[in-house]
Amino acid sequence: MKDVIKWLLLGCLCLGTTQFARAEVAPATDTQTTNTQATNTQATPADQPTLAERQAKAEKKKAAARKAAARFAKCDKCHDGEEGMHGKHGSVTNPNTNETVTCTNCHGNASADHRKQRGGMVDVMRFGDEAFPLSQQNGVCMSCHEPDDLRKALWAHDVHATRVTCTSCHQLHPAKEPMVGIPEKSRIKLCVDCHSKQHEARQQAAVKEGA
Amino acid sequence: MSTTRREFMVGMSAGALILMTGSPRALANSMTIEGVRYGMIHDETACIGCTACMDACREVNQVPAGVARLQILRSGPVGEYPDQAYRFFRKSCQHCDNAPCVHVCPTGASHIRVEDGIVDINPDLCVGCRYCLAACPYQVRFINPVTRIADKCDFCRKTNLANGKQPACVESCPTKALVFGNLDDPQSPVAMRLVQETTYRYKQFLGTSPKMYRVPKGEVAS
Repeated sequence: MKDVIKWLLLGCLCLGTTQFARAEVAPATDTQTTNTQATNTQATPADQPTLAERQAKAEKKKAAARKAAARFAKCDKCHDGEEGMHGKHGSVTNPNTNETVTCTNCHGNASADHRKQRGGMVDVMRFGDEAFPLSQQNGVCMSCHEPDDLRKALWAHDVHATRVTCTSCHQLHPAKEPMVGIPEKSRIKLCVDCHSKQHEARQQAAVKEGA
Repeated sequence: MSTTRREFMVGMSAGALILMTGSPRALANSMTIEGVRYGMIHDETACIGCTACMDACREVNQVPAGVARLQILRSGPVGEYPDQAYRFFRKSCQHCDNAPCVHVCPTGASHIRVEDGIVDINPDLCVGCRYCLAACPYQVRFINPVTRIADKCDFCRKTNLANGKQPACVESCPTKALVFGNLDDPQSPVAMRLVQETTYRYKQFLGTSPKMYRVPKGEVAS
C-alpha cells in the first residue's frame, strides 16, 4: 500500500500541475472526471440550439422571473425578512403553470381583506394552522409532488400523506429545508419522538376507557 | 394369537400415524430447561418500521458496520395510494429450542445456555468455520469482521441483560412492539401476551421450535 502511494506521489510531482496534485487523495475519480469533461466539450457544438432559439428561451425565462418577482414583491411589502421565501421554492418551476412558483401558488389568491381575517374568515392558506383541513393543506403540496417521487425519497410518505400535514416535518420558507439530507439518526429520532408520544396517548386513552 | 403380516403392517402404520400426528399444540412454556427460558414477541401490527431497534442494537453491542444482528425487513406497499400499508419483519436470531446451528457446530462453540435458553457462541471455542451460518434456516448468523468468529443476537446477554435492563431493541422501540421475558414464567408479560394473542413463528414446520413469536399483520404468509 505504501509503495503504491509513493509511486503516485512521484507521478504527480513529475506532471507538476495543480490539478493532479489532488490525485493524492482520489486519483481514480479525478482522472475520470477530467476525461468526461474533455469528451463533453467536444460533443456539445454539434447539437447546440441556434442563437435565436437561445435568445428566445432566455427572454421567456427572464419574463417569467420578472413576473414572479413582481408577485413576490407584492407580498414582500408586508411579509418580508424571516417570513419571506428563502428556500428552494423561490426559484423552482411550477409544473402546472411552467412558471416560477409564487406565493399565491401555494397560499391561494388573497383578497384585499386578508389582513383582517386573523382567526376569522380564511382565504389565505396558512400551513400548519388547524383552521385548514389536513386534506386541503396537503393537497396543495400534492398538486406538484407525485406520490411516486415522494416514495422514492422516503417510503414513509405513503403512510403519512393522509394522517399528518407535510409541514409537520418540512419547512419551505427557510433557506435550508430541514428534511433534505437529514442524517439517518435524526430521521429515526423524528419517528421515535412522534410515535412514542402517540403510543403513550393511546395507552392512557385505553386505561381511561377501562376505568 | 396369530397375526398375519398384513394385519401387523396395518396395526403398526396406524400406531405410527397416531404417534406422529398427535397433539398439534405446542406449549410456549415447555419446562424443559430449569430456570429461565427467554423469548420475545414482535408485534408486527404495532411495528412502524422506524429501525430505531437496529440502531440501538448496533450501538449497545458494538456491531461493526456492514453486518447486523438485527434487521427490520420492509415489504410493500400494499394497496392503492394513499391507502397503503407496509409490512415489517424482524430478522434476527430466533433462539430455537432445537437449533440447527448448535447441532452442526464441530467444536461445541454454538450452544444453548442451560440457565436461560439463549443460543450463544463460546468465543474461545469458535474457529469461524461458518458451518452454523450455512445451517441456520433464518440466515441470521455472520462472521464478525473484528473478532473473526460467528456472531448473532444474544438478547443483549453480555450488555443490557447483564446490567439488569431489557434488550436494546426492546428499550428503544417507540410503540412497544417488542416484548421480552421468561416464557416459563406464566406471570411474565411475554407469557401473558402469548395466551391472549394469535401469534406465529417463522419456519415452524422445520421443527426448530423458535422462541421468537410474531403477532401477524394481515394474512399470515408462513
